[in-house]
Amino acid sequence: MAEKLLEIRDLHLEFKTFDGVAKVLAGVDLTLHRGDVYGLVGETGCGKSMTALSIPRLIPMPPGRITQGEIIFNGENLLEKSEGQMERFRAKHLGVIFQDPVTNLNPMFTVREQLIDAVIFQQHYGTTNNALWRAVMPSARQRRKDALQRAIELLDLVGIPQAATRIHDYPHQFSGGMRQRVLIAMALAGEPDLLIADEPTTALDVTIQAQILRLIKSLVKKLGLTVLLITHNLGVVAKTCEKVAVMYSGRVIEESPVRELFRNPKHPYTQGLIQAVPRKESNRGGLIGIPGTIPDLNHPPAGCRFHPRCPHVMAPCRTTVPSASAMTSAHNVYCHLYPQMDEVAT
Amino acid sequence: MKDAKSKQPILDVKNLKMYFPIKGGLLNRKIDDFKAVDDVSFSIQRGKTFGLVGESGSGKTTVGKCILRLVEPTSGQIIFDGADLTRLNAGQMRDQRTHMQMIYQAPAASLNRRMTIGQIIGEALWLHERLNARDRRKRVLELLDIVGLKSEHYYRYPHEFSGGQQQRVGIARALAVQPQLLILDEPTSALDVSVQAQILNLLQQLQDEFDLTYLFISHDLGVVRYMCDEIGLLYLGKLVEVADSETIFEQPKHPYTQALISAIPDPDPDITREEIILTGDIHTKVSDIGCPFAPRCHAAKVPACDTALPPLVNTNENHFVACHLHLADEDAPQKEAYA
Ligand SMILES: Nc1ncnc2c1ncn2[C@@H]1O[C@H](COP(=O)(O)OP(=O)(O)OP(=O)(O)O)[C@@H](O)[C@H]1O
Ligand SMILES: Nc1ncnc2c1ncn2[C@@H]1O[C@H](COP(=O)(O)OP(=O)(O)O)[C@@H](O)[C@H]1O
Ligand code: SF4
Ligand code: SF4
Ligand SMILES: [Mg+2]
Ligand SMILES: [Mg+2]
Repeated sequence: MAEKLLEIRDLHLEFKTFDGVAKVLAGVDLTLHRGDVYGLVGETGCGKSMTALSIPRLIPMPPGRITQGEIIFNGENLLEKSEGQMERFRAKHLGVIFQDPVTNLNPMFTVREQLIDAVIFQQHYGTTNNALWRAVMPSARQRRKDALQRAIELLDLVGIPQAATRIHDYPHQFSGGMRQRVLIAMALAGEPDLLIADEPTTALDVTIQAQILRLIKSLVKKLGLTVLLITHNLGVVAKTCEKVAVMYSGRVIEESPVRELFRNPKHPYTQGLIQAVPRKESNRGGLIGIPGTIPDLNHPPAGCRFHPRCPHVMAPCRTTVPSASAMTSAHNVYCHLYPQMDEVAT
Repeated sequence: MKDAKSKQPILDVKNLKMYFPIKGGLLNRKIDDFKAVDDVSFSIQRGKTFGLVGESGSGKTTVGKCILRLVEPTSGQIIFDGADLTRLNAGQMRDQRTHMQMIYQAPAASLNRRMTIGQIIGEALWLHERLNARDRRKRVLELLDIVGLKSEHYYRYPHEFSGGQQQRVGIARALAVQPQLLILDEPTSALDVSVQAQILNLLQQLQDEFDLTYLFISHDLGVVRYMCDEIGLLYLGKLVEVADSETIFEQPKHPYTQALISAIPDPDPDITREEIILTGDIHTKVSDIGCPFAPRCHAAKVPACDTALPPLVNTNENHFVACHLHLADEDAPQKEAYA
């Protein structure tokens, strides 16, 4: 099996809000191996973006606070790094595409300016020994020239036709799909090990979504990237990812190879989610939704957070958080219906 | 479609055009037309669901607005229950509008945040029937029950509700005036899939119970397949293919429909279809004379693609396609224009 690149263990994240503490992440576990295209799915507000933004440590603290857990990247716990170390680490190892469009491209600057900045920034911080790097640093002018060259290469890599010309355009001169390609190019500027893409196709039409997903897959092959792909669309997961974690209310509730998750979903929530998608065979009136609504994170239900909506709820579900049960070596489910690993161990 | 009275459609849209002026130049005068809806014709039988599908900007919402005359169509006819709506004056149109209601994509934005749920639904009833307060309250409670909300929701405000519940309120408000036709503009695209399933089921129950007719606008082909009897595909304001739902999905003929269907990500990793990846997007420059899809078309094109607009013709048994390749079908029965 490929080497482990990222492991999140028992991550807890809270936010102070005006009416108390929101327990936004309540024990997230997931493991990415090098070369994985790993999907993170779940419905709105379940904590996908918060999990993803915890990795580059981009969540404002305060109001946020990580109260427990570890984020191990290549053997190092990122939560123990200083701000300065973290900044270098981000530039060198991580590429992020944000869901929030405001933090994306700046309409006031051309793509060239923004991409060159990204290239220079990533190269600058990507060098661990800054003093040494400065000593051999080319002139600022040469540096911008090289960066422009690199920026054009990047645009070309993400499939922008006539990259050398289009790079001088402003973002509004690009269509939605093209802008998403530019964002991917920016995220790739520092040759990251891990690309975190938060809903990269949600705002796009389906024919454009297909183009972008194909691009991401080809980059994985070409560059040996590892990708954490966040989406609420099970179809996107089925088509793009090899492994997937399903989240519900701040926890991963099932983690599995993709094919197995669709063939053999074990968690009642996963089962409900898959049944809720209209598909070819669905008969009129035959769609089954999940009754009820997602919990209030300021007052989450005790035990399994899905218990108020679960058709199989039992006594322990109301009091005890379920721990992992291994279905196969790579398929874990967090539910009292299955033998709990910590009980089995004792 | 011609003789039997019972088969007369409840809604018949004929050659609908909605051109918006493009202004420019020194004096900011009209320099051109933007053809948001260009010669669109379709009809819906009572109690059926017609799906209007297309990418964002293809003109779906504008068709819906034209039917309600929320925008004034440039030309064409909208025949509702035998009457041409485009000929009605404002007062007559107001009466007609109670037979047709629109449900919007963003449930929160379409509800007045200062009014309680009871007031929101009650207002629609008041405008429609002038019921007294007691009867109105009784009717609102009935409507809440019909859409799966509870009586204690009567005094709550929209922001206290989830997206799915807000959409239920929107549906209850629309039903208050006892409409015959609902125009549903992406009614579930802001909702999570588990909630979407609840709303789609509700819409089907209501349709059966009240014999409602739906114009169902969506860009989600999975949802459209589940909901619709007949489907029309819009591309840049033009219908490029119309057929019953089964035919559209099993035997799509237009290259655009084929590409769109192949691009739906199936929630099943074992389904591996040949995927058609289109180049460019809906904004890719189109010539004025040829097929609007020509710049992105992956099919083996013919010279006419760049020089003539393919008309929407009946290729066989009510399967309408606007593509030069299908004009050339040898075995198809004689062509008949759709409208
Ligand atoms: N600054 C904050 N203060 C309080 N709560 C917050 C804050 N930021 C996020 N949250 C809450 O954390 C939860 C998880 O948010 P997150 O953005 O991770 O959801 P998501 O799974 O990405 O959802 P979506 O699919 O809508 O993007 C949500 O309930 C959100 O309201
Ligand atoms: N009032 C208007 N003035 C000018 N252009 C408009 C107006 N309303 C819609 N359009 C244009 O018409 C096209 C179709 O819009 P719309 O019907 O909203 O598409 P859809 O609902 O399919 O996304 C879009 O390009 C849009 O910008
Ligand atoms: S732990 Fe209990 S409540 Fe939670 S999903 Fe499993 S059976 Fe349902
Ligand atoms: S008419 Fe020509 S360009 Fe248009 S869809 Fe058909 S084959 Fe393609
Ligand atoms: Mg998010
Ligand atoms: Mg629209």
